[in-house]
Amino acid sequence: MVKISEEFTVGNELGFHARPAALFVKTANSFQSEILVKKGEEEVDGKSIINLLTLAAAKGEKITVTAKGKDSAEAIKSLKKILADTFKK
Amino acid sequence: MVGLIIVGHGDFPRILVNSAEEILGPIERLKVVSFYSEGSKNSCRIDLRRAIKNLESPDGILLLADMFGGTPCNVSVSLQKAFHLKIITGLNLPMLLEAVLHRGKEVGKLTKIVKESAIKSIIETW
Repeated sequence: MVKISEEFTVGNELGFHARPAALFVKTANSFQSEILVKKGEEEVDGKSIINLLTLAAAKGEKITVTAKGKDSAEAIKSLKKILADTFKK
Repeated sequence: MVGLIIVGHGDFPRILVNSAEEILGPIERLKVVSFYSEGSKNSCRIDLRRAIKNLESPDGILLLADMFGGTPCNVSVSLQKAFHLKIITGLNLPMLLEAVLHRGKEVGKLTKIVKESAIKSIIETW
């Protein structure tokens, strides 16, 4: 199984809030790969908006996105774009 | 795609759907049925049956009701077996968001995910 991880720093004032989290989840659900998001020691299912929001990722904090599965490369590429757009605002 | 019906007292279900659409954008195959104090129980049942008929498909229907034991819930439960509805009570915004975001899944699996997520979303902050 292909596993790809990438780390991101939350760069926007509002943090990883509801709208970008919803977009992230919509995109994550379009891939077969398992998507995990980790902050510190806590790792959650990236296909659930509640799980993502309970991470409460605030400005300056780091999150790691991991995709496990056949389409993990495409998944990471798409999710990276969403996070890059979100965190630069 | 699983059809969604949101039921509750007064304007609450419509306003909640508006809030969900603020976050997710327009939501398709979703019906709101509001129960008002001046309306009869029978007219609410007719509205609910109409919504169910409108959404009927092999993918099934998940109905989210505002409160267990309230009239919107009780009327929904009275139609549950006839229309093979899945019903979850305790409607809240995270529950609705999860329902929309996972509605491509099989209706039984969707129901389990939505219920578990809604419970998990109630948090005491510190």
